[in-house]
Amino acid sequence: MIKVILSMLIFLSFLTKANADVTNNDLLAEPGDDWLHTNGNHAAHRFSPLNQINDSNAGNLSIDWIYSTGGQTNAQGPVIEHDNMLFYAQDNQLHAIDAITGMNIWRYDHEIPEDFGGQFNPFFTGKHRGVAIAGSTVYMLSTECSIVALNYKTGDEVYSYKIDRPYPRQFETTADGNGYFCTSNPVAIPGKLIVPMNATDTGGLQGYVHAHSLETGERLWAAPMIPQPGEPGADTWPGDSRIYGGAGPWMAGTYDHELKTYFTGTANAYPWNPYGERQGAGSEGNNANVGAAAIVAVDTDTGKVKWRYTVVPGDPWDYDAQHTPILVDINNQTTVVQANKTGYMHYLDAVTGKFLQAPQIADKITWANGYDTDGNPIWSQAVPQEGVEVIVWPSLLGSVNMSPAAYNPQTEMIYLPRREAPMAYTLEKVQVTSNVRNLGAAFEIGPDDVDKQVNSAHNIKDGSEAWRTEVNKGGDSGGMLTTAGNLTIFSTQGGQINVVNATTGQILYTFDTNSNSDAAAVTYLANGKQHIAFTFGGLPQFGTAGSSNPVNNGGVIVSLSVK
Amino acid sequence: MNKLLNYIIVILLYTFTSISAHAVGTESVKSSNPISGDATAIEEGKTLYRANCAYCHGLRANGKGRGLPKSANLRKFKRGYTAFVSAVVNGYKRMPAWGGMGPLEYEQINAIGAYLETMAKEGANWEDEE
Repeated sequence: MIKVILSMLIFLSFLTKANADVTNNDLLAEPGDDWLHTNGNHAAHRFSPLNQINDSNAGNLSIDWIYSTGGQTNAQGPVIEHDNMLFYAQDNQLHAIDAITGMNIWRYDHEIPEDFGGQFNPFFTGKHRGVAIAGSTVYMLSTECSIVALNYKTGDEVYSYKIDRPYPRQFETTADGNGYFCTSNPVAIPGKLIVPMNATDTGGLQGYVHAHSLETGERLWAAPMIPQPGEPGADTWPGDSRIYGGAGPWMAGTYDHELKTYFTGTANAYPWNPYGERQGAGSEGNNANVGAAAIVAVDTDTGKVKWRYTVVPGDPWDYDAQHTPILVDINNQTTVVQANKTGYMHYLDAVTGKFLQAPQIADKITWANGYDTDGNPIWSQAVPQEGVEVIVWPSLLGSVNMSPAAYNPQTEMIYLPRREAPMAYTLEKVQVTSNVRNLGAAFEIGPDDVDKQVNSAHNIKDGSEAWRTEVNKGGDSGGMLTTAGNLTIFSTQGGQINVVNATTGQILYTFDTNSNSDAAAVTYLANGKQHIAFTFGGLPQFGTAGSSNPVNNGGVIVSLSVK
Repeated sequence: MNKLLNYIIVILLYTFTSISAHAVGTESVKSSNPISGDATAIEEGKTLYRANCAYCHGLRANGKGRGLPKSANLRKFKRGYTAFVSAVVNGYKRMPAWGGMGPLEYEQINAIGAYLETMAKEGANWEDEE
C-alpha cells in the first residue's frame, strides 16, 4: 500500500513538473528540484539545497545511466534540467534527454556557415558551455553566434537569429578574417537573453555584452567592454588601439535582479604583445587598457556600463579575467568575488566596483606581490623585451581558468578548481594575415613534473584555504558543485569523479571515467530522486601533453544516484 | 581547386627536395629540407614558428600550447620533410590547413622546418625516403 501511495506521489510530482513553462520567478529563484541555469542560480553559486544525497550516504552512489553525445570536441557544457528533461549542447547540436532514463528525446543539428574559419578554428568550433531556458524555449549559441531557440518539449525551431557581427572567415578566401565566435552559454534573465560576444583571440575585435529579445532574438542593446570615447578610461587606449583591443567576455556572467546589473569578466588585451599601439608595457600600475582583463558591471535595463575594474592593467601575460564572478553577501555588502588566472581572488563592491581585497589563492606567483589598497597589482616581474624568454607563475592557463567555482552558504566556503603550473613566455613582433593580427607572443606550459591540479576550499570572507586535494598531473577539474548535503562534487582532469565532505574535504566517493573533464556537475530531482550529472569527453586540456592523459574523443553524460 | 593546387605544389616541392636531399641539417637529424642548417633561415624560421605554430605546438615545440589539445610534439617529428610540408599546407588529422593561421610562402615553410630541425630529439627524422 505504501508503495502504491509513494508511486502516486511520484507520479503527481512528475505531473506538476510536466508542461510547466519557466517563468520569471523560476529564473530568479534558487535551484530546487530543477537546475535551470548552467551555474545553478543568477549569482553563480552552483549550490543546490537538495540533500537526499549527503555526507552520510554519498559512499553508496552508483551509476544510473550513461548517454553518448557523439561529441567530436571537448565537452565543456554542463546540462541544465527542467521538466524531467536534460538539455545539452555540443558540436552545434542540442540534445534533449530523459532525466530519469537517459534516453534521447530529440536532437537538433545546427549547420555553421561553410566559410567559417580563421585562426585556431579547432580552439573554439563546436564548443558550448551550456544552454539557457525561459518560457517554453531552450536557447543555444552556435559557434558563429546564432541564437538557436527551440521548443524545449519538441525540439521544433522557434527561430534561429544570426547576431549582427561578423564571424571569423577562412584566410584563403577573405581580405578580413577578423570575427566573433561563441563558446559560452547564454544567460536568461526576465525579458532578456544575455549573450557574451568575444573576438579576442581571432584578431582582437573588441568585446561586448549583448541583450537580445527572448521572443525574436533581436538585439536590445550592446555594452562595450572597452570604454568608448567620452567614457572613463577611454584615454587608456591610445589611437585606434581599442578597435582591435580584445577584452571579449567568453564566459557567462552573473546577474543581480535587485541591482538590475550583469557582472562579467573580460578577456586579455589584444594583441598579447603590449609594445604596440595599446602601449600596455611599461605602464604597470598606471591603469592601462581599462576594460581588458577586467570585471565589468552592465545596467541590464539600458546596456550602459556602470563600472569597470581592471584586474591586470596593460595585460602582457594573457591573464584574462574571464572567470564567472560569484555574487555573495559579505557583511551586508553585495560583493563580486572572482578567482582568476592571476593567482589572486578579487573582491569588489557590487554597487560601485570599489576594490575590497585580493587574497592570494595560488601556491606560487612571480608576476606580482599582491595588490595595493587601490586595487592595482604590485608588479614584481618586468614585462620582457621582445624575444626574451621568461618563466612566469601562474601560467596563462591560470591559477583558475574557465571551470566554474562554487559557493556553499552553509559552510561559507568557496570551492576552486585550480592549476599550479608555470609557463615559458616570450613576446614576438605582431604579424598580420588577412587583416588579422596574431598574438605577438609564444609560450609553453609546464614542465610536467611541477604541473598539478589543486581543488581547494577557501573561507569566503578572507580567501584563506581550508582544505585541498591534489592530483600530480596537468590540467584542472571541470568545475565545482556544492550541496546542502554537505557535499562538494568535482571531477579531475583525467575524469575521476570526486564527491567530498564540503567542510573537511574528506573523499566520500570516487569513480574513474578515464575521460577528459571540462564541465562541472549539476544536481536535480527527477521522479522524486536526486541525481548528479557529469559531462565528459574530448581531448586533454590545453598545455597538457597527450601522453600524460591518453584519452580521446567520445563525449558522455553520466548520471548517479543513491539506490 | 585550391586543394588540387596545393597537392601539385607539394609534389613539385617533393621533386625539388628529393633532388636536394643531400642537405643534412644538424648533427643529430638528417633532412631533405633544401635550406636545412642555413643560419639565416633558422633565425627567420624561429620567428615564423612562434607567430604561426607555437600557439598550439608550444614555445619549445613540445606540443604543449593552448590552441589545439594533444598537438604533435614536433621535436619528435619523424615522417620526413615532404610530409611536414604537406601537413602545413593541407592540414593533418585535427590540424586544419595552415594550422588555421593563413598561407605561408614555401620559403617560409622551409625556414620553419629548418628551425624545428635544430630542436629535434633522438629518433626524429626529417629526411624523405628515396
